[in-house]
Amino acid sequence: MKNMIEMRDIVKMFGPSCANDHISLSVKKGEIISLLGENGAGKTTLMNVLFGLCRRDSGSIAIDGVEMPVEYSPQTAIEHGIAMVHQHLKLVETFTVAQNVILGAETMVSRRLFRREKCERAVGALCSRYGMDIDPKSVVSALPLGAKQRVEILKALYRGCKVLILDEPTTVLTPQETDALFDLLRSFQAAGMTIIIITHKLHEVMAISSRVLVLRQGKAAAIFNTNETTQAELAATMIGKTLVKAQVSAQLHSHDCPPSVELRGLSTAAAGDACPLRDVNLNLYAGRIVGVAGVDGNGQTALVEVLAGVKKLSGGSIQIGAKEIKKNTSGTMRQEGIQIIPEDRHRQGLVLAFSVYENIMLGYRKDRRFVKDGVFRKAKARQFVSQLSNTFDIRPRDTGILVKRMSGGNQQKVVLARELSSPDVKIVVVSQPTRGLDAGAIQSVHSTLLKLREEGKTILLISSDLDEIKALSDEIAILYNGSIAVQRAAQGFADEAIGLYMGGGKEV
Amino acid sequence: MSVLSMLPSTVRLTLPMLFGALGIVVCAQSGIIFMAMEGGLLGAGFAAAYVCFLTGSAVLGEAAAIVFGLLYAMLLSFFINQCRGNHVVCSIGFNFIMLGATTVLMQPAFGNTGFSPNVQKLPLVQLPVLGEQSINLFVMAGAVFAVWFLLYRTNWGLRVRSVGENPAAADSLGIAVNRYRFQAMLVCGVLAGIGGSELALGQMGFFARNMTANMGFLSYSAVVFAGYKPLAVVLTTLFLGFFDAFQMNAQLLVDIPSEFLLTLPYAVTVIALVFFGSRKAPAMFGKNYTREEE
Repeated sequence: MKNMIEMRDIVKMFGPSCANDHISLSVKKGEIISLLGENGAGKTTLMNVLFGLCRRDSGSIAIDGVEMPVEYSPQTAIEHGIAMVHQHLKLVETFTVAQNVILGAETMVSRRLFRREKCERAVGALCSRYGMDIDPKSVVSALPLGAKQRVEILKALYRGCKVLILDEPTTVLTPQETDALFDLLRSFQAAGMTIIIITHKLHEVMAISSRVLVLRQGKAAAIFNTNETTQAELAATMIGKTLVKAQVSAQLHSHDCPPSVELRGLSTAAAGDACPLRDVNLNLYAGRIVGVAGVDGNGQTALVEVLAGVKKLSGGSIQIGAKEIKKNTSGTMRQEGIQIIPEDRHRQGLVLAFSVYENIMLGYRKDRRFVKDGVFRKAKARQFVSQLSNTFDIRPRDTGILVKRMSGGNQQKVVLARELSSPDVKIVVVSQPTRGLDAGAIQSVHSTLLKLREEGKTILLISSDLDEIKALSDEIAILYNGSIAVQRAAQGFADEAIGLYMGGGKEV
Repeated sequence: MSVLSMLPSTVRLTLPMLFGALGIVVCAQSGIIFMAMEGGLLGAGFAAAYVCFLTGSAVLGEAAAIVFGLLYAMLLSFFINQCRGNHVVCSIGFNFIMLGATTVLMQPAFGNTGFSPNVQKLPLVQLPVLGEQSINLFVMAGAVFAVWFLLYRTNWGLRVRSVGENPAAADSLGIAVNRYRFQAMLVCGVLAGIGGSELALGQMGFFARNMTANMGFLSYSAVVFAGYKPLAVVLTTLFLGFFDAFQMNAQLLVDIPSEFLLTLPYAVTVIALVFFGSRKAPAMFGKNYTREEE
């Protein structure tokens, strides 16, 4: 069978560093292939080269038998039937689904005038052809993330793509949405489409693709048929060493000790589209990790905000030790030793234009060790920060580097270093701590959490990654529609049952 | 003094402001903050009066004002889109330049530093209720419809709006962001030209130093007040125009120091903006777009 994509000896340099070092990739027509690698391994760059977003330095590309020139634009790539769904979706939020889909290709409907009904009908027909349940008239900003991603795919389909490139498509999806996406991709495959998925999740590689190209540090490490390999082998190839999966040691159920934190009937006022809390009851224990699972948008954000003290309670109270808190301000919560690792490290966790040093010291503005009479004692502070940089393995070690120039994993380590190094940390609330991180960074974050657990801290882990919840938690609670549907020991809590509660059902 | 009797002067005072506001709306939808309307109206008014003074034809004067508006917009677009300047800073600079240039050029052009000689006015029409109005009233009606139609009923408008909301998305679909922003600014330039010529040739029949007296900024507030929408802007400019007319009439009738009355339109603007100033602007309003390089 003829190869749909033929990339030979692709080299792409960014300054002195080599993002793609003589990588070859051939993809057969109608095949689903994965590109696996850690962040910075060169997966996205390779696809950007194919899509015409980056100019290659050497090597050759043929799409469906047609040799491509050294430099071509995404426009040309689209004309050759290539479509790319970027990790950060590129949609106009205020437009409707139909407007987003036809934008840039309006002439396929009408030459000059914008014909709304005609566009909506065309997009509606496309949706029903591929069995997608999306109303072309709905405004994109009101759609959940999974649906937005399908709009992005519709854009590709509308342009008649033959090759679909998806960059980390599942990072923002819930397990259910991921399954739905994979079903959709399989149906495309059945219709003869070629699909390339960039990912760093091993089980997804196994689930969806027939072959996988593993990249490591800009080089093609190996190519496997998925039915002839294992996750362990892929992981080892990807990071160049064997990955030890973090796992809590089996613990007895913790109800033998009293909870260190009790959330009693927490409620918040509804505001906007965000789900408020409706009577949340949750117990946390010292030296235990309680994992809160649930589909995104069921009150996770509100829960973190309440514990951070930035969202007012409309009812209920937080019992920490002997103290009962009804008016939660960020000051009181900090006083009680609650540290928050926010879900959006760019917007809530870091000042991107600040250096590592500055970002860490932001958390120690009033610390007597570093501030004397309102003046920073720089030498001591620097020493402290570089010590943290070593402990948390923040790379590069240069603490003067701006945070925005670092990889996602190292940015997260900066947040962890700041929040978890204060001497009076008692309670740690972590929200989506490994979202968008690669396997190596995930492992480092997980071992940090387990270390805290051993030190006897109270830990609340909120994550939409069910694997993460299961790997780390002593107890699992499930948040559904703003309240806790169930809280019980992680051991013996079966996947099916978890799925049921996440979907709002109950066990029979 | 009835509201009805103030209608003719309200419409007259609104017209140039509305042309300016429509131009600002088109720019805003493409993501450009066009704060330079003050200078645009002033320069266009000067160009209109000067050409009319030389040729004796008001229509040629208006044509000259449109040409000026186009050049003005092109130059501002060069600084904003090509040189990636800050929209507000560039705009303010353009306003100062136009105020200075028109003031300095008064003497060589008209032989007077305060006023130009009276020149031919644009044709007037007598209407029921609205009284005597410049022919530009009909141009305005056409312009309001045209701007609305362009923005919401054409593929061009869809692209312009996408460029204002999410230029990265537009770029990934092969839409040249800066080209559409440039085109939006050209439309704005034409409207600024008509507005300026209406001010000089439609109403006064002469050009005076700094004759816009912040009308460009008022039109900008009217746009914010209208939530950046072309049809709503008709109402908001009429609203501000009405207070301007009221202030003029009141000066003759009531015994309040005229300085206080003069501030009325501005005071109303400030109060209106307190309540409506947070209307949603296009997401990438005032942000230059650079393609992300990895």
